[in-house]
Amino acid sequence: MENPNRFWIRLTVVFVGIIAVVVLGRMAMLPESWGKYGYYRGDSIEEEAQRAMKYGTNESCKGCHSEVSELKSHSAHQRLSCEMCHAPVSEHAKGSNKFAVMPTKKGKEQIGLCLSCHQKTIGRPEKFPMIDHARHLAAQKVKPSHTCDQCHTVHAPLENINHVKDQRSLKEALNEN
Amino acid sequence: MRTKITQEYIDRDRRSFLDKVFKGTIGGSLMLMIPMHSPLFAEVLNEEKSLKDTIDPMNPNANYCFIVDVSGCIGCGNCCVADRKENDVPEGQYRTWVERYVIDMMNKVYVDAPHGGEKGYSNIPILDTIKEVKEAFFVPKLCNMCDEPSCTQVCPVAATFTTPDGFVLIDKEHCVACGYCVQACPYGVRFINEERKTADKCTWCYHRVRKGKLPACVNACPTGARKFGDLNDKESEVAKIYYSKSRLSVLKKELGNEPQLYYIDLHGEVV
Amino acid sequence: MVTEAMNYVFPNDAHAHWTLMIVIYPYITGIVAGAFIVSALAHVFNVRSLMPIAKFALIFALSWLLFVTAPLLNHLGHPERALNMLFTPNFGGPSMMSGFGYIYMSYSILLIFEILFIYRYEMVLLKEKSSGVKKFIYNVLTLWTNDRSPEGRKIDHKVAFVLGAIGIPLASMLHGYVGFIFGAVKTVEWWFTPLMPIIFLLSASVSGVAGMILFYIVIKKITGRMDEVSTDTIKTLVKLLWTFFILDFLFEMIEIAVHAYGGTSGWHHISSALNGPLEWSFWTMQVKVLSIIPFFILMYLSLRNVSRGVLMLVAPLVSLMLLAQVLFMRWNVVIGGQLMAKSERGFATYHPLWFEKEGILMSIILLVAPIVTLWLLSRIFPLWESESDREHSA
Repeated sequence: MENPNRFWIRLTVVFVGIIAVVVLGRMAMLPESWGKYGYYRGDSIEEEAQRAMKYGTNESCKGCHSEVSELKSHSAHQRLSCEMCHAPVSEHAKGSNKFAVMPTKKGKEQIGLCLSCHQKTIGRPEKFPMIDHARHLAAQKVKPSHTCDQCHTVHAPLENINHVKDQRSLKEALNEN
Repeated sequence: MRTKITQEYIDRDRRSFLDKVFKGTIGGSLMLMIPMHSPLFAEVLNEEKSLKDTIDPMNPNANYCFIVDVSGCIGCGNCCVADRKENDVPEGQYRTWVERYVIDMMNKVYVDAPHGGEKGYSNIPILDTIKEVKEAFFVPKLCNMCDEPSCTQVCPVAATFTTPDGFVLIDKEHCVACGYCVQACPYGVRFINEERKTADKCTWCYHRVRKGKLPACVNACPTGARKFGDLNDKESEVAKIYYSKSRLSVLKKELGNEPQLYYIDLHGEVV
Repeated sequence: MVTEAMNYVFPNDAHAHWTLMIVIYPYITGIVAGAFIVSALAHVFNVRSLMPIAKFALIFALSWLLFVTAPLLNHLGHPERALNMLFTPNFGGPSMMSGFGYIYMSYSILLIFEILFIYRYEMVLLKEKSSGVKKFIYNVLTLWTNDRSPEGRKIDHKVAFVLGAIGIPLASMLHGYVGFIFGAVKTVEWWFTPLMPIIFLLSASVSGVAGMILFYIVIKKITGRMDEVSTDTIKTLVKLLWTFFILDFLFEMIEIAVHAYGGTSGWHHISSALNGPLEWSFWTMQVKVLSIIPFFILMYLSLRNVSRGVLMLVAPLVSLMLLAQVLFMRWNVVIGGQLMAKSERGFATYHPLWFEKEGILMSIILLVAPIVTLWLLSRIFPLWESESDREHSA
């Protein structure tokens, strides 16, 4: 006669084994930095913090392009990010070493870039300088193919225009005299 | 090394300068009016330092906060472009986006965000459907960095959490991509990254903040509509706004998530 | 009054994230829980008329249980990390989903142990008649024991009784918990109701009992043993199904009614979905065709003395309808909740394809696989009451 208790005793052993596997598995699989700051993998914070930046800041550009930076600093475009119109600095330079040419928008592309902010669009705050592109060109009596930078230097959009205005008023003042 | 860079720099600068003068472009001739600063050694040195990815220690005493000035947003989409590049966000998924609200004289609300506003806005098709616009504005959206986040609560494997310095981040090595956090986020800022196959969302550019830089979208914003900083730093722009008379509000306040993303003068129709 | 003039959803939410896989996951879980409840009624509450299918109910539950995680694993972006649910469960949140991992595991162990105790004696007998692989399987399942004493069988029954008793709350938890996964999401108004776990539990019972009726009759029909089908058992099951279904449907309607009566902005969103993209699947299918009609059929079968021929024909048909009702209900909850976009200004879309990873074909495969598994399991575990069972219970 076999012991009638044998089956359930063996099954209990199996059950304990399953629990042991889960407990040991957890101990083995738990990431090392788990619980460093809280109930999560602590190292993932530093991994994220170490991720390389693609965009720098305008300071990154200033080192080599102080002339543009200077020009821009007195203009309406002073707070614009250089990388907004060009490209992320990481595509152009590493440290202080340039390894690729920074794209400069020309022709139609340039017009599109300017209009992405300055085209009159529903939703834009009224106080923001906006134009209806076609009308603006007509009003200024220039060819429809005119690009924006033919009148506005892109880094300081009103620089020339104010300059011309100044000279004109000077001329007028002289003429009056 | 230092001299070499400087020499190169001066050479190149001189070349471009002369170039401009000789070509007679206006920009070039304008240069004549600007007092020329010779590039200083110090500047170059600073430059070298700022490009290096030195990580600042975590600052648990900071109270980071993001403020969006809705009246300043022009819907140019530059923030979205910068964000996509900075964070390698797959096409068609969004860590941040810009919505446009248009309310007509019949008080009907039209909301659109083609390509998340990334490619900018035009008057079509809004002008086809609306006769007269009563009010229109843009609303940038991004992670609300809740104090009581729904997403970290539901994550079954604790792969998303709040850091000691107050950022809600995702451990992409641990995430199983069940999508529960995507369902739980009231603001729709989470998605399953198609390439990595893990949950993803805006981090307020934690990797930049820890290097002392502003988030990519804040850096890219041409009008300063996006502001980021530490409320405990009383000199910061956000602290000045936060402790001023500006009317600040958060999205879906009734859900009790306590977002750290504030909007100035937000229209009641914005969800 | 400001009105919406455009369908606008947040750009990340244009389509539902949780696919057909998440529709059939609670569906499969529900059948498991429901079938277990039938077996518990026989083994624990000693409902005599259910004895003929008490064992079948357990094996039926097991065959579906083995596929509970299949749709989930297919849905996960990183299925190889699935064990993180057990190793680093987020009980701090707490995450309802991480709790499910442990409940599912406990329930699986319990169900398998229950089966081993119920079948132990029979397997010891079968072991001698079989050879080769089959003999080995029986040896493993009986843990190389050969006890045939009446004492041993008494122990089996005692333990099976206790396990069954523990199993009832555990099976209820298993499925109530699935309801909680949805009911705890405050972001989705259509889900966020304390009734959700109750509705899930009741609909689980409905699908489980309906599955028992359908498969009991169909398997007997296919094997040409219709005469063995007990009228008494089917009648009890039909009454049980009717009871569960009344409660289930009642709570489903209460949920809608409370939402509608509250009339919050959330309800406006829900009602426009129920009368929009969900109109066919909710009102037409889930409510009208697959609830109201089965309700009356079940009422007729339960209250009137119908002939055996009619019962054996109508009972499986109405069971099939209710199985479909529960599937539609899962769809309307899981997909419906996601269609009601968080922008509160429109609806997301979801159109499953036939051949995508989480598409229609895969769903059909995952719903057929348990049936194939049931056939495989029946080669090892005889599905029906054996001579020895009858002797023992007598």
